[in-house]
Amino acid sequence: MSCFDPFRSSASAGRCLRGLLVLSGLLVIGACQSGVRDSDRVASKPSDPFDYNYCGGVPVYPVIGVNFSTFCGPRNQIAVGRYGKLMWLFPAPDGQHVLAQGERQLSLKELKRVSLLAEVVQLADPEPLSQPGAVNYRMGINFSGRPSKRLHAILIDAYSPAHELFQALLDLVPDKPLLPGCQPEASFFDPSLLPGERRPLSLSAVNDYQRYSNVAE
Amino acid sequence: MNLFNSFAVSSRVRGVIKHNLRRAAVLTLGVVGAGAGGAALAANPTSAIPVLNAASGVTLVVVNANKAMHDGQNVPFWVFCQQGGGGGGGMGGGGCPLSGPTLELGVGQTANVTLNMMMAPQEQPPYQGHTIHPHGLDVPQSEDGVPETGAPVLGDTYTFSVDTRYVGSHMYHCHVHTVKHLEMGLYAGFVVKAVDNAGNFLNVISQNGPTYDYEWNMVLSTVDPAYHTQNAVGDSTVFADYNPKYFLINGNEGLSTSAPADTLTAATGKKVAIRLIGLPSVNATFQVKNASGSAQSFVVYNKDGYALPTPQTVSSLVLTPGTTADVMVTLPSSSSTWYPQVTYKNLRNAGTYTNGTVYTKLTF
Repeated sequence: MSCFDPFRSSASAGRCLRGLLVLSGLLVIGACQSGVRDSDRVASKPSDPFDYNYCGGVPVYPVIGVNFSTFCGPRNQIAVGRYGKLMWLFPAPDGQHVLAQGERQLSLKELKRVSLLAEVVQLADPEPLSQPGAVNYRMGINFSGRPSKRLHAILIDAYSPAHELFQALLDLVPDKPLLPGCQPEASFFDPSLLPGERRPLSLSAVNDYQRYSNVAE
Repeated sequence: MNLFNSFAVSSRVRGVIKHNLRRAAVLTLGVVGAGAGGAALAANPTSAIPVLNAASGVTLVVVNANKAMHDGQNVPFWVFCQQGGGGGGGMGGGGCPLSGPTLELGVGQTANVTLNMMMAPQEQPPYQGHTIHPHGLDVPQSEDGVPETGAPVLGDTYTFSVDTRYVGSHMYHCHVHTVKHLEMGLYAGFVVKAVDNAGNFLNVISQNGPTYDYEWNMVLSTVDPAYHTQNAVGDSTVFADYNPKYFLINGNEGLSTSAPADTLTAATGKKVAIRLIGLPSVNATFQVKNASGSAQSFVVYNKDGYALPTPQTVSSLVLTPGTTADVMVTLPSSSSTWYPQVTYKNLRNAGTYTNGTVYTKLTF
């Protein structure tokens, strides 16, 4: 079975893609170290007809979305588009007006790093949710030609693939979101909802979301 | 990190500009409403879908709305709504109807439409956000609202203009995870108008076409309630099939001639332009029948917003998903009632659906 077979089984795909990941990681590191510039993003035909990283001769990147907030805070959003545009929308405390909003085209170096981190999240196991925290986030990743990956996570200091990607996206945004402390606090909630719509979720409910996400794989 | 960067400042400036443009819009709409360019008569379809001048600084939001169907099922929708034009949470009460506001744009004028995403209901990432895709209009890629080719999904301002080729009916819809978001109700009509030298809209059906006395926009759509559930997200297998259960014109079911989806009252002997804006996910056959059930002829002037080389007189017209047609009926000199209607048909086998014919009413 080819690593590029879009109809592969998830188990064998995991093995194939882990191998691919190591290779692509080496390639990315090599590319970054060689100082590739934006002007090098010259459209060219893919050499492999199953290479889903091209669309009409233009390189494409994973679509990434993150909604995050504290329990009482506004719904913050970051997204990366298929052509590598970073977008963010951070509301003011009232949730109805803009605190900061913007977009910018990521450089090739930034895109390679974000893509690699997203690749790891795509392959990783679900985030552990044993530790409560103030900031909940829901993240989704879609590589062209692959099933989407979705997860619900709690931001903590420990390493996880999703935290790493989330932090990388935050670092790329020139503005800072509002993440106010809340009383009462809730450990698990849906940050994609508006503050007035949020209800505390049970851990099992969050895990249900995780399971559903994995089924979608 | 600097919260007060140049982008934030420019956003505020744009907000001031938009405020002034909205004030201008009120004045402009007053002129247009007076029926510039012909013997315009007040059109009064009962569906009351707002009509906005896209060149006047329109700001749209996305809101939740629920619609109770004839069998008692409550179906959640997302709808485009003019900012400040009424809250969500319901339809038919003067809030935000299904479909969204019809946008009108004069030839050579510049659309200035902003999508405000602050409070919008959304799908979970990576399909969060919404866009406005002017379906059928050739606009710059940056204004096309297609995320796959770089359109922002967290709010944007769309500016573009069109030429005389486009005079006629088009549509706009959200292009984020379209299979879900379109079905959820994020669609509406977009009508390009011919203008006079002063920029006033003309009541002509195509650039060099005949005048009309009344204009009736009909947005055709269908509803598969399975697509509206919370499980119908992402790559759900729900989207592998489409089984519509409810059939709409201008957001209403119109199950019979006595309970029409929309009603227009006109004067005898006048011409009524009917803009068929096809947003169902199945085929739709349009007919105009009189009180005896006999199909009346009508003239097709435009298909997909483009004028036909030769207008066609027909008594039945099939619209496939994502297409439009502009037709005209000329009313008799004696009073009566006609029933423009749409029969939705299965894409696979052209079979009809239960309650798949939606009736409207034209009284004159």
